[in-house]
Amino acid sequence: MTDANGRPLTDYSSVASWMGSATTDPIRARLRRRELVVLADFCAHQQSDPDTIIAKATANRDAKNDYMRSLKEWVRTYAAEGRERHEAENAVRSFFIANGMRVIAKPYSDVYHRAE
Amino acid sequence: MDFLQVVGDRRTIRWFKTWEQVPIEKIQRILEATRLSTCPGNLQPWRAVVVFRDELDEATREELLAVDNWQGGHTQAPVWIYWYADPGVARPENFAARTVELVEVGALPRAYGWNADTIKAAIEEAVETPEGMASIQELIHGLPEEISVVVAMQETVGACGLAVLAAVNEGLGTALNMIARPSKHERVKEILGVPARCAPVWCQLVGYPAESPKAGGQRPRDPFGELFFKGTWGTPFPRDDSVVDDLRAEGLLQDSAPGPSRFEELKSLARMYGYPEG
Repeated sequence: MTDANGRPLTDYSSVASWMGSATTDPIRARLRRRELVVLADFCAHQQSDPDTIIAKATANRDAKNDYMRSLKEWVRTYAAEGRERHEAENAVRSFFIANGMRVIAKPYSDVYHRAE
Repeated sequence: MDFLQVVGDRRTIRWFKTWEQVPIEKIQRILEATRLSTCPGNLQPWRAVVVFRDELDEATREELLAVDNWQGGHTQAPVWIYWYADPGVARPENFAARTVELVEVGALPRAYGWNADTIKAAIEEAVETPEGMASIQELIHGLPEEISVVVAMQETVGACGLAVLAAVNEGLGTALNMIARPSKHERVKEILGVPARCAPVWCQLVGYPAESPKAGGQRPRDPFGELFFKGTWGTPFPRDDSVVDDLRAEGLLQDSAPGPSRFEELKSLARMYGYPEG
């Protein structure tokens, strides 16, 4: 899996740290490789590379929120409604979280407001 | 993982990574292990419906969460395994068929008196079993249906214990929740297509832990000698310190909860998921 310039995505430190936790478990590593395809497509959509995305999101909270909004919109066209869409969105969110971003961790925004 | 390490590492996980999906292969591995659970008479009354949270439509997902009172772990875990006990397979005629099968595969020894005729005579006509064989005529003959429910449930609970350890062995976090508040059990069966005769046992939550997998340490347990006796009730089974030391080295016995910074961890998790910090 490479970026637009032919550089392997796994060469990026942000991707390496995201992949890291999953590599000791072969089943999990297989899943991560599938998620890597989603991440590559998201980066292509952003016309950016993983490290740059993380650097921008780290430096600027608004940029991070823009990425999250953009992710929400992108998955609607990227994957069919249902499990496939949730998994695609979660794959990219997990990339941000693994790189120290504080992003929404709730699976569904409606779920946690029942008691309010 | 080493068996003792798996048992020692097991915790009821109450915070899951919502964003990490569980590979379906891991769920299969849990179910394959559970299928081999010990079971008297080889009845195998356990049944499970595996629900992947993200495959549900919104209305169903909300209803299944609402009947479990929106418990935090349930809302976060990506996989919910609904365990049911089928009392239909714990009826005397099935017990007869399964025990005969065990004789035929060489599990129940003919040398002890087990054979199709003694089994059927004991179960169907309450004929005393030969010496060396279990007294199944008293246990199974005329077994009331409500006892079949109890038998099916207790065996399924045992299987759930194995399912929990199998999940830990896969590097997953897991918890056994009530399926629903009791008044909603029938509705959950309806949603999942579970036959009315089945008894609800547990909803096993599965996912990657958002809290530390050790979840702050091993939970309080009653003293060894108050739980286990030697010879007669009330005589504590002796606890050898050197065995305790060995088990600590092998990972079974670990530090007790709450470990250092556990409450900071809980606050941080609460913040992350939008709960009051408490």
